[in-house]
Amino acid sequence: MHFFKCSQGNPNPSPNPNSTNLNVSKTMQTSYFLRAVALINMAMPASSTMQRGRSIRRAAYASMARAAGSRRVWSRAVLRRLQHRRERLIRRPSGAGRRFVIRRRIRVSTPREPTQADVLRRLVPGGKAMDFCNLLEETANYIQCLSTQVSLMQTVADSISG
Amino acid sequence: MSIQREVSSGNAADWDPLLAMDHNMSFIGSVGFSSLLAGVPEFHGVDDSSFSSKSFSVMASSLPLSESPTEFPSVADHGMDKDLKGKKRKVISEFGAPHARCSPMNKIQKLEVGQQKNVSSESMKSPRENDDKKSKNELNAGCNGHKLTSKQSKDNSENGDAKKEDYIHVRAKRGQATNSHSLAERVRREKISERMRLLQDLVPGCNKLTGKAMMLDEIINYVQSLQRQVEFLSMKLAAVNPEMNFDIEQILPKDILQSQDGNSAALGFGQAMNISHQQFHGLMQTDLGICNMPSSGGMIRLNNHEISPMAQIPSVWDHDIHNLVPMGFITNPPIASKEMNGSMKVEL
Repeated sequence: MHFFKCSQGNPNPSPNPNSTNLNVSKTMQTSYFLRAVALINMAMPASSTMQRGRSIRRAAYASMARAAGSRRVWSRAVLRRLQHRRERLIRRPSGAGRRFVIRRRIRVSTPREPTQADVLRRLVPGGKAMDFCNLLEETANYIQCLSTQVSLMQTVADSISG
Repeated sequence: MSIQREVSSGNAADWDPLLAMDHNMSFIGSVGFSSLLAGVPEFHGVDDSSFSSKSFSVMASSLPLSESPTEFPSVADHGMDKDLKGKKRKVISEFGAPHARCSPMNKIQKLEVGQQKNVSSESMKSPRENDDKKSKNELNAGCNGHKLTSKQSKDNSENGDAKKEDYIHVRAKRGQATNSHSLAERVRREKISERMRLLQDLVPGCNKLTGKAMMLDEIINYVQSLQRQVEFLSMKLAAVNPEMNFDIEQILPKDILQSQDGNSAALGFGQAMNISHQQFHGLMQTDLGICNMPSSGGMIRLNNHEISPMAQIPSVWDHDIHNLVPMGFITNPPIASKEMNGSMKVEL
């Protein structure tokens, strides 16, 4: 229910009583991703494969985050990242007059080598600001969504090329 | 022997009101203990061979009325619960040795049950389980002698486990520290281990691995491999797409039928596509700077006649799609509009 409220605005969530939330969220994820890919392919046919690939990758993460909703820390972090990117691009729309903003990171050198928890924090979006217990829960959800997305992309790739 | 019989019958009469007071959960005070101690000298007189005076003095010293009142308040105190339980165990063992039906031991165990009822204020179910187990225990202990303390303690720790259902009410098991910090840490550790078990089910090939370090390594590897797969597949899609006709209609039903529940998902998808059709249309027009796109529903044509009137659809999906595509291509709208001349399929 919460999923529909915040991300879809669909008044009748399940037309079929048998369809679960999981199915519908997968459906939403699929539709979003395919729309995005179609848009990318239509809008930038002349760009290099690298650029299109990067856009498609962003589309994949966006569809994952959308499907997960706002309840997850990682999905919020992904959407925040994309929003920052958009705002940056809006401020500097033309590539010609780009002023390079160098983000200076003040590096606090940690003398110890990174533990497994640190590595996991780096991998899972939004993982830096979570305690270990919540980090594990977010990782579980993140893995679920990632595997859904991977299977979706594999299906799309197979159906296109097959 | 007659004295013993008297005592036992007297016990039946004497101890019951005390048991009733147990159940009222208000008894812990000097009242119960004083009557217990009052009852004790009888036993002392009855059977000198089995109850050594040493054991009696141990009991007397462990449950004094006047000298060190710390024991009694500690009974009601949650924190000291563990220590007292340990002490009571010792007493029980010594009394438990000789008699088959040892009423003070009975009493002490019932006292413990009463305490635990007092202390744990959540569901009454688990103290009752405890009670049953304890009554079983005392019979066994009576028969087998005081070697049974370890068994009692094990059962007791099982009872402790049964009681720790809600994470707010945590009881210390036997032999564990009762410090509030340790309790909180133990709760945290159990939460972590529960989450690790969930992750074990998610990550394939993790069933054999035990130990936090190995499992974390496996989890990290799996997440990295999934992310690499996403990247590889996105590159593949980017490479493949321009060459072929990208027809969503063909792809989507196949995809959905493959995943789960075909009809409902497709139906739900139909609705979703209706929503996204409108948004997408508007999106392409605003984002790409394309105006007057003739029936650009050619991109996605599914149930076109049932466009549901969802005006207040949140345009959140729009925002994300905006930032997927770099804005540089806005400068070439004419090319795009030429392509979008109401064709069913988008040729890329």
